[in-house]
Amino acid sequence: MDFLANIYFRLLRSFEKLIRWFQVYDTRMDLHRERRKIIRKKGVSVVDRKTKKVMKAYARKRFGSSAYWPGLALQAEQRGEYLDGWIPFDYFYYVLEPKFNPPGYANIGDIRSLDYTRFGDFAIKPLFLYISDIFYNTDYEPVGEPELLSSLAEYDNTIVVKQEFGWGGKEVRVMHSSEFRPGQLDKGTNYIIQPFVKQYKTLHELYPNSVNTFRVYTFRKKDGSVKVLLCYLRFGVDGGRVDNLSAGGQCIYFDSAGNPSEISIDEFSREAGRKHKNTGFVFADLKIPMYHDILNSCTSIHLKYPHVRLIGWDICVDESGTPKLIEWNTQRPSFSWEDSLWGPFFPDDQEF
Amino acid sequence: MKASLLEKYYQLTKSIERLILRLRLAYARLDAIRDRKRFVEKTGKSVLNRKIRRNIKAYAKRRFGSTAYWPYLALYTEIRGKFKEGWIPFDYLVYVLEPKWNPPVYRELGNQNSFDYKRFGDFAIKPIFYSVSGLYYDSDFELLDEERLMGLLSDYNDMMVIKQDFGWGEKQIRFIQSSEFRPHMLDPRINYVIQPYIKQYKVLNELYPHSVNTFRVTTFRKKDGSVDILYVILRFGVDGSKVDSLASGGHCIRFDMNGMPASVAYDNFGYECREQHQNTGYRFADLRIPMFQEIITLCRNAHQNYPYVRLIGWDVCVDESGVPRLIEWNTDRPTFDMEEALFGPLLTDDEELH
Repeated sequence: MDFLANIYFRLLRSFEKLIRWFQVYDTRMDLHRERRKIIRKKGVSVVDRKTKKVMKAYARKRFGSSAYWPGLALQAEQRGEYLDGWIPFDYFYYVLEPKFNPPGYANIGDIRSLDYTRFGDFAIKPLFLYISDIFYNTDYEPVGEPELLSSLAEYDNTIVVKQEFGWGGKEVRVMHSSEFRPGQLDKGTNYIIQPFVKQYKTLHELYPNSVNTFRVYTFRKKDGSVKVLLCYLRFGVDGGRVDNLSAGGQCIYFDSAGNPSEISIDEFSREAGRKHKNTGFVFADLKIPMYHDILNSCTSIHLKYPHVRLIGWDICVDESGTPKLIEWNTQRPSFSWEDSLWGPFFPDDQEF
Repeated sequence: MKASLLEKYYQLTKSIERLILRLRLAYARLDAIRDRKRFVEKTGKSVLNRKIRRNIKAYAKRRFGSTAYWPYLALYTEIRGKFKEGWIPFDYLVYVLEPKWNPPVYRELGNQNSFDYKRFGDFAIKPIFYSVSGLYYDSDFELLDEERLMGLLSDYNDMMVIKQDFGWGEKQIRFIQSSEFRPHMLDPRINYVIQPYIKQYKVLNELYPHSVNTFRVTTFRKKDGSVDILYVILRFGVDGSKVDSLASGGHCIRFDMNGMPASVAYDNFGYECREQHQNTGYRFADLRIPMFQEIITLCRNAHQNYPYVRLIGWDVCVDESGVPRLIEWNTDRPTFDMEEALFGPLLTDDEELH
């Protein structure tokens, strides 16, 4: 029996190693493909033979293998130059992230229906939750369908139906409350039904068709303090209803004093202009009086969740100027793209 | 080329997963056969005959789609002394039902012990401090430097329990006098909750004073959102053991929903023990727990706030002043095989299973 168990566990470990090898290989192929796409869009490549040699030497010295060069090459194409100190995506994803945000805690941010319970009014108060095919109110009392529909009819406003564990704004639906039907939700998937946030005047003027959100990265240092790594504002363009870059949105970087950069960046890391292409809003004119409140809220909450070291916070500002948490990303809050554009954020290994 | 490689990779992953599941199932069934042999050896008799085995297989085929589920049903039969239709075999529970009831993404909720006080407030035990990634925090997650930590410990000056996040079966629990604690004692790669040692309620202390004796309340969220109590047992240590868990040699008695204890206790194998505690002589039938209904209500309400998982095993003790306190909640494999055999069938309604 023990002999059988031994074989079983060895077999299991071998399978796991094989799967990991495939995953890393697949990721690196993706990085090559992504790099080619950037070169095509920018029409120029900054990685020549000499740069590649420098990258490989840096990767070997810092990460123990030159095989990490494709991620660095992609970062160089995104930035327009190569900088020592970057963390390539595959190293971040397979080596660092499991240490920063251990698997047992990595999905705490994904259970979005708990956000209001956890953070109170910093989160958006849901109208209803849909958990395991049952509708609940915010006190977790089951709500029957007739009661749900009549409440929504009474609410008579725009709502957001958000899927738990959703990614990149793709599993978010915006509709009028009277249009909602329980049958629109997938059985076996959990959802949050929230009010649609009417955003702060300035952000609305920047681009009115999407809720424009700040992405704030906080990092818990080894001494327990939490620092803001970076912050940028994402917004939609060309009629897009979501602000995500992967959905065609753009972004502008904010420095730690709350000053916006003058030029926006698109999903292919290209400079996209000094004004919003549809509204003509000049980015340098953006003034966000509650900018420090946003950063302070993220930092103070992160201090209470030291189990994860890197968190990506998505924050909007409501009509009254109050920062509201849209979501917090503790699983794959990958920041390689941000690291290449505005980093390196971890130029040495002191914090690893 | 790329797509076909990827497709092959996903196919291979799926095949490996299927193979692993088959291996796990086979392993679990071998365990059931071994446990049954051990039980029969211990009792010196077997109730399983050819006819009963045929009935078991027919039932397994009809309800679970395969006769292969018979070994656990046979084990239950030996434990109970007769076969009862309606039982759910352990392998079906763990590999088929549990992943649906407690989806993997929500299963870690109960393992993150260091969030319990945040989640349940005073139903949980207020920690003295936490150790997260080698850093120390007070119960409000305010960072503590070594000086403040030592000050806090010297003020406390009593017995403490050091509990590991993601710990299993009380093996990762240490008892220590606060003055003996040194910051370097804990592994910085593991997170811990450091709690006061609970001085338990008088009756429970009289039952057996060396372990904190806990109620295991298993709750099940039904499809209509209501929460049912499947069963309640009280676990207690024996023979000088400091822990009450069955896996560590403890015994248990069942309580009915009115809070009345059964007259006999059982050991980890479901073997019937005496009517009195073997060390203290306390008669189980004499146990009166005035806060029994409160325990049940607290567990039911707590489950109501975490409907993400359908099956939860709550471990609750009662402190000196008679207040029920949550020791831990089990959302990851809160299995009930022995209890199903002894007190079940606990879930007979197929509508609720899937």
